[in-house]
Amino acid sequence: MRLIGCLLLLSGFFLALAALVMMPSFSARFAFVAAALGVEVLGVGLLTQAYKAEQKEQR
Amino acid sequence: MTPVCVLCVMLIPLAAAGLALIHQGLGRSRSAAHAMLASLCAIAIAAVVFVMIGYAWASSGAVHAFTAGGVRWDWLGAGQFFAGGIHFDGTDPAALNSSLILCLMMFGSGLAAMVPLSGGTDRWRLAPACLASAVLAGFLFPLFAHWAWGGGWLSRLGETFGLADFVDAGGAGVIQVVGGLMAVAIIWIIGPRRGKFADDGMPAAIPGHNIVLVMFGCIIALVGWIGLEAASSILLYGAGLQQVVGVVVNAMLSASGGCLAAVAITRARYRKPDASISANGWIAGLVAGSAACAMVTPTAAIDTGIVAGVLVTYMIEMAELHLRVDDPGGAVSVHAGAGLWGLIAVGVFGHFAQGTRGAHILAQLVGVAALLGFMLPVLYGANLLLNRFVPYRVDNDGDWQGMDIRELGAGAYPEFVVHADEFVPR
Repeated sequence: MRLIGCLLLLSGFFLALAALVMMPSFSARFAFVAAALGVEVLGVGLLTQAYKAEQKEQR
Repeated sequence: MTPVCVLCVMLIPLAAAGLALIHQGLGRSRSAAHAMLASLCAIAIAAVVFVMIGYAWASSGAVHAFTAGGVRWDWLGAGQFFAGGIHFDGTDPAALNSSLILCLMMFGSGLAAMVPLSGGTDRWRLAPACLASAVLAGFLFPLFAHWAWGGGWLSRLGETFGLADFVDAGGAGVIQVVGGLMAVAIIWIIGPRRGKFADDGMPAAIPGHNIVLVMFGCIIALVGWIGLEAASSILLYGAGLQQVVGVVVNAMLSASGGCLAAVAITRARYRKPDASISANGWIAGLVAGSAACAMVTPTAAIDTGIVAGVLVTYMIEMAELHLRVDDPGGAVSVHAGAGLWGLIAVGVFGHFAQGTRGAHILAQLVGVAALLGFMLPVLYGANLLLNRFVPYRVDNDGDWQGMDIRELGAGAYPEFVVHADEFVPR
């Protein structure tokens, strides 16, 4: 779960970079960067879930 | 502007002094000396490693770059190690600017290294904390510092993609968010203090042991923050004297907005203002306001601070109640949370000579994406790796005994009454 979370974070970062390079219009860029941030939030959420699960196990 | 700039750079260590007081005051009395020593060691190691190695990678001038997608990505500095090329003997007047930038970044790396200490208070051992500070100041901080401050790809979004450049005038991203994300990684690795969460997940209150020092630290930090914001605005964004006065006013106003918002919210929710959350609101206001310090009106600085204060108040509660994050000094919400808001606030409130409002917001969002999407996994991965070789967390006995006795052999307050639970494992 931790690995997937980290991969999601990196995917979001590269999605934001790809949006800058590949999207011609401002609105398309904005939408893709917003989507990239959404992917990163999912990654943070997954890492948080992994941490909570680990804490539960330790108890 | 040079004398003003030199004075501002010399004020920056007061920000570190303020943060150190806040960290130790919000921790337990049995770990107070350890917290202060860890802060000193973090600044010391960060300064040595940054000057020896980090500055070469953070600096502008010679760079490592590659081309992808038809775009040149300037991703790392390629200066000389051991601060080579910077002369302090006065023979080269043009070198003064570079030496001041070195000084600014050296203190900045120390501040970034101090932030995670407050997240790991009461359980993060000294040796791994020093090691992590060295890795942060030697490679991870310089990487993002180059991107945002050293002429890297992030600071050239306008030129490369026809947007606006990413702006971080006072180090909200470079120093605070990088430090705050490191704190997130540390907390995920070392877990909460023993006794912080009950079996059903409900958090227990472990109040800070000296709220007076925390408040004093807030005022000291204000002076240091003013120096930091003014120096970086002059050196990196070409601010003039008039703008420096604006920086001072805005720093005070954003801190005030953050603190008063936290006072009002805690007063409304708990009937009495919460001193430690209000102190966190003050620092959150400073952190958020530092991104746009020279580029917003006083009204916008107040708004930025108020939002940061509200954000921090709810983030602290959410982190404890729902995410089971034990963050005694509020490093995650104050430095990472408010710092990210501050970066977005630059796009929303900033006044710029060039570029549309949308372009500035987009540039700031790309910076946020870089911090969350690249810096967080790299910081987390690096600390996971270090934790394999040098375990970060003190053992269970040390957790109850306190870090002072366990790691230093003596407490910070030897004349205090020893609490009954201090040496009894629960």
